[in-house]
Amino acid sequence: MTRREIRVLAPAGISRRRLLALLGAAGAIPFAQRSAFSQVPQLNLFTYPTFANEKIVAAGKEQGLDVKTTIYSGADEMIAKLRGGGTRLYDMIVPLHTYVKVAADADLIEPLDPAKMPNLAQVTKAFTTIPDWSPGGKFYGVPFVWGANAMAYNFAETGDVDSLKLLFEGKLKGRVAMRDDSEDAIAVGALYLGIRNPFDLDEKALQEVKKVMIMQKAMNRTYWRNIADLRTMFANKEVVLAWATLSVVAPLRNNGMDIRWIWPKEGALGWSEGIAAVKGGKNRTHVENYANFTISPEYGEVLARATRYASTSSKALERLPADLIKELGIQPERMGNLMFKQLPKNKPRWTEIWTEVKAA
Amino acid sequence: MRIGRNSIVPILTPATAWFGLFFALPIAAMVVVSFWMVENYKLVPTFTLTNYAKLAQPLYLSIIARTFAIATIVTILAALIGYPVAYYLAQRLKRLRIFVLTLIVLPLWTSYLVRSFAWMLVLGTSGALNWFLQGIGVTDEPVRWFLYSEFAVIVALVHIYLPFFILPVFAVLDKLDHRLLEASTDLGAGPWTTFWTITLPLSRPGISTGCLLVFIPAAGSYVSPELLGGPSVLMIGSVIAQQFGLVFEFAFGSALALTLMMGILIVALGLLRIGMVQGLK
Repeated sequence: MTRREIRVLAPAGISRRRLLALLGAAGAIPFAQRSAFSQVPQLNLFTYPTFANEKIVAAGKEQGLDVKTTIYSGADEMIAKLRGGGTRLYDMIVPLHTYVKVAADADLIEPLDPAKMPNLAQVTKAFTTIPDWSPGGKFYGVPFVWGANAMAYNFAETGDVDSLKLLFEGKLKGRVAMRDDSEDAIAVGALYLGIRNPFDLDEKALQEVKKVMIMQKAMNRTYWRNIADLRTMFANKEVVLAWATLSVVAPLRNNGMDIRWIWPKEGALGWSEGIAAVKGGKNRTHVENYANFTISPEYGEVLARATRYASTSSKALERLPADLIKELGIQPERMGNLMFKQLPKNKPRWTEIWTEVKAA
Repeated sequence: MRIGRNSIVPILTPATAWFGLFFALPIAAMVVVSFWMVENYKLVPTFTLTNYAKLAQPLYLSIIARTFAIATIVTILAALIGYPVAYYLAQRLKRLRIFVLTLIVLPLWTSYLVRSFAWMLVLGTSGALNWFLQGIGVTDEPVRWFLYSEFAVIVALVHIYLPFFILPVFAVLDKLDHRLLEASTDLGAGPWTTFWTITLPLSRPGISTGCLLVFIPAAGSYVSPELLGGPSVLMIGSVIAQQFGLVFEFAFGSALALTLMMGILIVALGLLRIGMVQGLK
């Protein structure tokens, strides 16, 4: 293993820049400026690791929006923790669009006031009108980021990749990692079978997908659940192709591995995420300010630079150099085959089918 | 000294309170919840047997059976490897004993997770074992089934739980009455006869305790199979964790966990019975 690979595996410690920022916060910032900061309370943001990126947090601070982040690894975990008393701990969360209704129905979030978010005007129309964000006709927020779950591959080992068939058959047998997630895996199986809406499957379709996913097992080196584990598998070359989330790519590329990202021609699984206010929070106005900040061009730019994720703000894209836009994990030319995620109606059955696949 | 009834109450109160608060109460809650149901991410207090009906399907029973099979293999291997070590430590080693005991306990000072990760580095296609085998020319291509396989899970679990077998067996063998062994030799028995008829039967309590201490955590293991198991190793611990952490099926998860506990309890009672040596009470 090279030093470079080891660095990929090592947990991210406190960086020099972050240390300097902390020192700055403690003493170096002029007194008058600090008292201005102190008028705005620190907001508790419960989010995915990607949006707790230190550069993003620092950009917020520059706007006088100080957030303390706590991390979850998936939408179900978020709901479970909010249910378990988290509503008292956090001011805002970053739900996946399919979970806005779930969280609203479970009384965990409350609507925002769109009038307090002037940056809304710059958000691409397609994202301000997604019905998932306004269950019951109420405005619960607007996505600041979007993308798709798709395929990551080690170009040096695989060459060009275009079809998700490579996950199911052919030369990469034993070097593939499927995501251990019932929603993603079953939907990918459905895409492979050419089913039009991979989230609306009756029992017969589910059985067909199950058969195909059992067949797919032979292709797998293993399943992955935690994105850090998948990163390790790529770094160790145990795996050269995976159904993944975009966050696997940037850290490996930054360490010199030619890991690439593609929405396969059969389709990718789309998602959008944005700020929602936790019910009963005392800092509503500040949450709206933060939500407004996340759809600003400044936020979109730092998001793209730090994480390669794409902002929903059209103004943010305008600020980016062309080569960076190419590096973002979106492929507008394949929008036609992008299937935005839906919560399966028979989710418990999906979970069970997926357990059956894994136990087979 | 006899401890009076009045003085024993304050001594036992903290233990009872601890046991009640952190063991009895959570288990009772799990029993109750296992008869409830979940709707819209909310637990609905009702009475239903559907969770138990669901886990009685061949799917879950086969996962439990496979889990118990893996735990049994791990226990047997730990016994086969651990017994000679404990025997050597207790009967032969005098001067270096503390040192070797420390070496055995040393891995327990690191996290379980780290030990599982370490096996990834040893067993991987570019790992130490493959590097060695290719170096000495046993194989040209890296062996791929070392990692992400049942093999990897068993190796890691044996390694992780081996000290729990060695220590109780060592404790029993260390206390073995040497006069019995001498008497056996005096009466003309060879070393093997003495071992089979005196040492081994008398170490039964240690063996059964060791087996228990290996089997119970192995059957409930979650981290090692997740990290090392690959696509075909699904143990019940992962399924239970999934019910709580990922899909919010607390009721079904509770039913699964209780069933696993009952299964382990049956095995444990069997092992304890084997461990009872007559005349040694």
